[in-house]
Amino acid sequence: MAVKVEQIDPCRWRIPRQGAMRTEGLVYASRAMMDRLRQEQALEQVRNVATLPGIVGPSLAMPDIHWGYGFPIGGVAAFDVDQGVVSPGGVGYDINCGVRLMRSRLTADELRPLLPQLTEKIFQQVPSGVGSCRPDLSLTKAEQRQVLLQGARWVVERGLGSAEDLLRSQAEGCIAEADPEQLSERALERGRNQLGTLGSGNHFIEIQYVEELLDELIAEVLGLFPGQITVAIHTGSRGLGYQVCDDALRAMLRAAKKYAIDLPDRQLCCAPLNSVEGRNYLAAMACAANYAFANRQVITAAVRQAFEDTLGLGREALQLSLIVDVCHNIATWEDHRFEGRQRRLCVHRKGATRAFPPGHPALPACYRSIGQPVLVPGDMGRYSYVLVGTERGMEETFGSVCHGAGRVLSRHRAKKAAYRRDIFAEMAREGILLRAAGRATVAEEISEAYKDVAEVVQVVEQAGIGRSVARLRPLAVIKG
Amino acid sequence: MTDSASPRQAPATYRLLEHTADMGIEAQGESLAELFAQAARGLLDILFGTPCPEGGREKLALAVEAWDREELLVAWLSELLFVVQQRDFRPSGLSVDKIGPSRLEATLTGAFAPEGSVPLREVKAITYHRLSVFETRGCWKARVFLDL
Repeated sequence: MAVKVEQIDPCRWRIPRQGAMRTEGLVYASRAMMDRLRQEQALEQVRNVATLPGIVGPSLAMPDIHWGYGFPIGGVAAFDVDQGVVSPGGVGYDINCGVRLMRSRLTADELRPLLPQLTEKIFQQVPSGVGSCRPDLSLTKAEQRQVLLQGARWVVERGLGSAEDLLRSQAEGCIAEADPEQLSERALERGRNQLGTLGSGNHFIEIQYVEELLDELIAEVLGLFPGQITVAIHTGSRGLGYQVCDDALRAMLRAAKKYAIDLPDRQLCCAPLNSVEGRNYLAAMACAANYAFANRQVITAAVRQAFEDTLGLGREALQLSLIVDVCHNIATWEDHRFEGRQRRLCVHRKGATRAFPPGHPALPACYRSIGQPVLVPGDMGRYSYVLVGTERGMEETFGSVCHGAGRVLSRHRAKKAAYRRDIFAEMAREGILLRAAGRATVAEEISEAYKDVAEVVQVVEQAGIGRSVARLRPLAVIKG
Repeated sequence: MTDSASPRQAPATYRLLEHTADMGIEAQGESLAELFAQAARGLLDILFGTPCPEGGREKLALAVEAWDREELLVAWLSELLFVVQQRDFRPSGLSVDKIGPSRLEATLTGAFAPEGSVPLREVKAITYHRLSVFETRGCWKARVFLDL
């Protein structure tokens, strides 16, 4: 059945309730984006999510929406604490894949002469590529348990970071409900030597500079200035997270039958939030989320060390400090005001970012006046944006915005488009140094494979669910 | 029921499906065993490109169980993915030795981590999205999507 879509305004589209849908769909997109979306399965996926029990508010899709599996990428859905469900497919395999942004005291002009050395150093110190691992950081069972329970805090307590790093991370880099007993031997095995690794695909480390401030007052609070060097890190929970999701899906397929939940797509299998299966998954998911927080923290420490070694400057001189660490793939307990009353909700974000508004109690004091900062990475050849959350976003999207640009080309088509091109040379002509573990990844990750993130951010801005603060331009990109 | 598949022997009866972010496999076979062997070849194609890594005479026996044929396909491909990505096994051939609606036994032939055989790309998992396994006019067909 074709998905019916009605335009509400230039950046909002409604999928009216029909068939088994329990609520309507709400998609943030420009007309051009919608024309493209109609040619793939993502709208059908928004509709499918709307059929799940206990969904509160619409099945949402951010403007970087594209075809995923089960949930669309860019999907946001909130579920009632008593009537709702939790779906591992609504979180994804790379649990707490996320991004962190750091700022420095350096300017692009100061760093440029040392950029090749620095990039090489980071590339050497942070294993990247397919199956990348760090045998030197192999965890004992006891250590791994602590990583799963404490997340980034465990890393910081070993001298690889600061209390400020934790304060500026979503959930302070640790989700409390973690229970390592819920993880299979296989999940634990896969996580034993991958802490501090980037992985491959769309994961990256990027050295950037602030190209333009779009809101000077907020940028000042974030410590951003034109020409300033920033660093972004994008990775997640690696093989451990994939295995947690895989294991959970098998259990949830049984649970969906047990609780008589009709599934339009098996990947949406789920269990009531208040069931044993639901609680077990959330406890396992929290472990994987904590592993991802710890992973990004270890990489942060390696990046800081590379800067110090290459530039011969100390921590004080560099001030490579964290602006924010946010999750892209996660289900979290949140309190929201919906239809006039306070509700406890489990918000699933699958390729979407939490972006709470100014004044929200979950924000650290340093950001309470401006709202939660969010990094929205673009493709490797263009730019990224720093945004903050807004009150309107809190009302409409449970305080969520996009997580990136969103793919438009399949990997096969991207590879075809990259055939016989020297992507490294093309990037160099744009002033971007590219270092990658595999050429296949580079071909699949070319700029044209993604939407222009400026268009995505424009929809967010126009809809009022986020506010732009700064645009960052890449100087060096490390890919897996 | 047995079906053997070596990348340089039996003709491929699978094709790779386009997906905006990920990839899929559509396979067919005259028997369920052949279907599952072809789907596995599709996965190896995604991991290594064609031809698959050559050589190696080590045998690795795999057995998986599931609730139905669709879930069995996911379980089988997941197991294959695990031995490739986690155990560094590089299959140059495989045979589906026994298969029923809920259990599969297979043998992989190959070697553990021979040099120069790093997969082209990481496959995170085998998904249940739009998953299907069915028989029509004596031909078995399957569709499965992967998370990359």
